[in-house]
Amino acid sequence: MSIEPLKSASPLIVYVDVKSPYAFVAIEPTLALERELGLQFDWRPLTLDIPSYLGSARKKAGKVVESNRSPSQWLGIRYAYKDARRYAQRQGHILKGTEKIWDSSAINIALLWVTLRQRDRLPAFFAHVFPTFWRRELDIEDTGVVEDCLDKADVSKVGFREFLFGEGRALHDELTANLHGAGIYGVPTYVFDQQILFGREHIPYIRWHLGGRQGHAPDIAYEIS
Amino acid sequence: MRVYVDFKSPAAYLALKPTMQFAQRLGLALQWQAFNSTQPTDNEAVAEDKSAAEDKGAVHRRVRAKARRQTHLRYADVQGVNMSFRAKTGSTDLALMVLDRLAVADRQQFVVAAFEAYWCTSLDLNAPQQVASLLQKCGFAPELVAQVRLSGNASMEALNSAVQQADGVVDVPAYIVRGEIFIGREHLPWIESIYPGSKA
Repeated sequence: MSIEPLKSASPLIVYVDVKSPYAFVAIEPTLALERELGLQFDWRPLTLDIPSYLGSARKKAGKVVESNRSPSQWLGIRYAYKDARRYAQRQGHILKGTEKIWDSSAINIALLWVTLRQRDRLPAFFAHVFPTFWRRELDIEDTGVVEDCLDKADVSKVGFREFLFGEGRALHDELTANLHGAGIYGVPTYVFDQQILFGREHIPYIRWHLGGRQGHAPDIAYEIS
Repeated sequence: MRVYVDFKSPAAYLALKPTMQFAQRLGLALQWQAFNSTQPTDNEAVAEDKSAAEDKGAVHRRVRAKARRQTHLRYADVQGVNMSFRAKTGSTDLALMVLDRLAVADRQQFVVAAFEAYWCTSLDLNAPQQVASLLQKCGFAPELVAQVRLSGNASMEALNSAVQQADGVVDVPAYIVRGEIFIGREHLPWIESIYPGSKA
């Protein structure tokens, strides 16, 4: 089995990464769109390699203790967190800045597990994982914690450990290796008809497209309720 | 509402029409401000050749730049505006400094003309003669160009630095609304909710 980055039986592929604040604030609007259109999107993991393009840093007690980021990278990152935080608050969530760059591959492989085994539990999995992680209450690098997330979402974890270190890891790594070649670089990314759009600001356009392209196409917007 | 722009920014260009329509609908006065966006530009990164020596970060930036460019062109089409990317991004410092010196009430006319000049007619917005003729076309004194040139390039750096300190601007288009910064036209729904009496 392998996953083609731009191909799916679903009309929309959605790439997310648990450690991305922008993916966090995109989850609820994208799930809402899925319900609104009565469709089932193809949710997939994209484990970002943040240090390769945005430098790396580690914090301790709120202070930066290690960093190879430039001042302009810091300014951009601070704004990005501030921006994601206000939208998270609007959704009723807390978004705390992370203290290190996490390896989110295990929890992202769990996402893959849920989509392949119990797709109907995916909203429950997201509802537990994202808010808890962004309150800094989830060690997503701990396999036991990841299994607990499956429990919390009422997803069977029988066979998960084998999947995590075997088939699931292979699928995840192969997909990750093929994403840049397909033109995908960040999260959330939406793919329809081989077209790629990065960011939840495209939800109005995606709704218009999947809804039959009636009327004039909308411009980008972060929709608020 | 203060709106920071840079004429060479594709995102700022595509924000122009929606922002003016938004302001008109809500009855808001816009205060256009200059900011030299030093973020890696989409054009140059796209122009970079894929090489064997490319590391993961370089691949990421190239793929991102190409995707952004395609996205900008998609929404230019949605908005029905012309948009021609250049092989290499041109400096717009001189036009930005001129914008900074214009009276607030005169700025919108110049902003519209400068964006159109950059994205539709490939005018060099760092060339004194071309910026002067743009000013003249807008009905303003072309001598402003000479005054700006006397102050030198340091002024652009000083302006950027002051803007970053005062408003925390890191990219454009940036909207400053009651002390809060929003970067990108996608925030217009939130900004609308800030103003009392608005529909949001």
